[in-house]
Amino acid sequence: MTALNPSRRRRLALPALVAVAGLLMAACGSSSDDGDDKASDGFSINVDDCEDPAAATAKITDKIVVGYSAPLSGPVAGPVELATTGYDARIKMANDAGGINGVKIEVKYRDDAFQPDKTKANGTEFIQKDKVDALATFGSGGTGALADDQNAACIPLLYPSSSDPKFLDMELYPWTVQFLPSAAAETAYLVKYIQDNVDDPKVGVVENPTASGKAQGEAFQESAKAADMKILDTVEDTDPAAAATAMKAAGANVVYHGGVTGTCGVFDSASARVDYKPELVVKASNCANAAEYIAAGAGADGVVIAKYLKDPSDPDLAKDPAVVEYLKALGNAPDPSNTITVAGWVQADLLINTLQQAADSEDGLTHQSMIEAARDQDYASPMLIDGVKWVSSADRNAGVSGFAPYAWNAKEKRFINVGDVTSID
Amino acid sequence: MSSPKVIDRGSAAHRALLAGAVVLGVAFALWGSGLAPFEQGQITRVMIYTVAIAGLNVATGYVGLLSVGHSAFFGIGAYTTGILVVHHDWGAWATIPVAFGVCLVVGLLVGLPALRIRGLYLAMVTLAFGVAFPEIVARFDDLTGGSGGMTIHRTALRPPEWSGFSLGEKNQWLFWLAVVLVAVTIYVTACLTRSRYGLAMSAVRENEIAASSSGINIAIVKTATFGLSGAITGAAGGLFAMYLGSLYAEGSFTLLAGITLLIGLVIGGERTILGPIFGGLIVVYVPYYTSDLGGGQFSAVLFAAVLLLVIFVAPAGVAGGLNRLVRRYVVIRPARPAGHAPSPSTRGVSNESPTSKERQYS
Repeated sequence: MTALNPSRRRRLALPALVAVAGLLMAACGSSSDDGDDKASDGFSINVDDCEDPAAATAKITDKIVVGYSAPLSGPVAGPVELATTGYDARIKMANDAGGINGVKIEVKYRDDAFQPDKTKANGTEFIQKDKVDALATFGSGGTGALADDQNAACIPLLYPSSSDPKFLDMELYPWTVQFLPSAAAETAYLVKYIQDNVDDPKVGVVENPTASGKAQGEAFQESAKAADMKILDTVEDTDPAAAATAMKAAGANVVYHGGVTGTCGVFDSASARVDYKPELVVKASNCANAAEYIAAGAGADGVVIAKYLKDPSDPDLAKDPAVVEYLKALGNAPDPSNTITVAGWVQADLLINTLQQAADSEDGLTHQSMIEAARDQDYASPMLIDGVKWVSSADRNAGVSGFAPYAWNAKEKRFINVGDVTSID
Repeated sequence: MSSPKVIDRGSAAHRALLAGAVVLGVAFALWGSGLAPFEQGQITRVMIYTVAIAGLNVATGYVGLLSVGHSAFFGIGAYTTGILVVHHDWGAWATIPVAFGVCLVVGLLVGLPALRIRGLYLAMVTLAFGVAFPEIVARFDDLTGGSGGMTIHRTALRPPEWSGFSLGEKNQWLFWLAVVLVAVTIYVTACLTRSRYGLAMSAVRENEIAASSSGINIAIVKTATFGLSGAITGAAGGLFAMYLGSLYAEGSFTLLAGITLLIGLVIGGERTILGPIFGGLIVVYVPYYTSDLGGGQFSAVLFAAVLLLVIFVAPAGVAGGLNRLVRRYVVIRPARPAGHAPSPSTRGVSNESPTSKERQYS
């Protein structure tokens, strides 16, 4: 073996040793947690903790700037395009109607390619350079990348497409309010639905092997455990036919499928192929893409999902004023009936309602009043299913108040309401 | 055209050049410390990627062990920092040597297949390693937070008291920590590649049989290099965790990240000391500016076009291209004992072809 000569070795070793020793010695003196964030009685914001307290209470009079770090390129650019189409349409409608008490909303987009470090860089640029009044992003990774900085800077992160339970802590992340319903709330609802509709449920779990699929599968198992409902078996849907066969062999008469977009209907067609017809199949709410069930054919008939958004393509809602207004605002945009497009619209609608509530408050429109308004909501956003509201308070994290069960009808090729809205509180 | 000026390594002129480079580096660091938070954050990202790419350069550049799965080392380093800070209350910066050590061990293990295979086959092994990493993170969710990710709260990233920085100056602290890490990495890499061990690395890359017949233990060179390579990239991962404060394996440490490091290395200039710096600049700033020029998916196409352009203009990477330019005017050659011309045998064990030498001395 070729060795380093002694002088070279010394030259290499000395700085490395000094660096490592210095690091280790001083490690003992480093602190890890002495908590700047103040606890509060109920929900209140202490802007003294902000990096720039004056900016948090300064009135916004010229325009409201929202910095949106979104994966405009990369693996989820397609869905994001749908979401931002809905978002932009609702913002435009608000601006055309005069804005928030005359103050217009401007949305600045920056591409993060679904990479959290880029989201963080975008967030810093939005906060430090663009001096935005609010932030938005797409995905839990992005929310995680922004949360610390935006909370330190006291810039509200309003309604990002995420449901990470870590950021539900109002004490640690008071300036972060997420949009998506938590997997825990959704799966708790589905467990109750199963118990109410199937006698002696023997439940199997099929989960997609991605992070999202596994998170849903785990949440469902937690909810089932809390409701004292036994799970017979848990399998991955990598090979849908094998998963269906495993469920059949286990004797499951109910299946929870934690699928992700693109894999939702495949399990159902595979079940039909292996002649497995459970009494009930329930799926995560992100399995709402009609095209997949149409492709799955009769095998998908009866699949139930928990919904909270209206379906613009539902003939029963053709004359619904909110749907009419929505479709008019979307104009010729591609795929206006897609759930993701509707979700983008509702996110913007919640933002507008929050801004309006803040503007009408005693303090007027400020960063502080915006987050206080976001933490005090009881709003039936028009594109939420009738009976579902957006609720938040000092004691309750922001989110929808309930779900309604919708079952896929293979003959009519659409989801049909099969029950009343059930509160999740 | 006049002949280039020849400077002997170790001569006064060479030392003056080195001093100039150090002064330039210090001036750059001082300039960076005065930047606004966003610009400073971008420079910090550049330096993190510089270290990560420098790690990849050790294995892929100097020994020719093609790795597309270095994102896993980057991730292991980041999660080592995350786990020690979140679960064991370590000072974040002190976890960097641990990240280095953990990745060294993992690198040695992953490098074992390199004893029997090389080229695309080795790339396949590292590919599997990179693909498996997010799944492994998801599997050990008690430690890593699994698919839900791991968040290091900013208070846990407070700079140590001795640094003189407060929590509000966390970005400054990270910047200076990155400066130190980059400086140490460049210095160690430069010393290593110019040492006898560096000669052995190059010999293994050029011709394993000839190297072996010259008494070089190929197995040790390959595995040790892969381990060191992973360790350096892992240290960068530790710093990345401190910068980001939020770890999602499926967001930051996918195969795409491994390919990004590889792009940075190739475009920056492999087998060069400065190549990783250019690589870091490219992977941070090219997407940033192309995304400003073209919206959405178009920016990805633009990014690819810019990369292709760089490859056409400078096939040896930016550092290689610059080196070629500089060599028209100045050539630095190794110092030789007075009155001794290089013997044929010395040339036989030389670690560099003229081209690689000129790159290395950039």
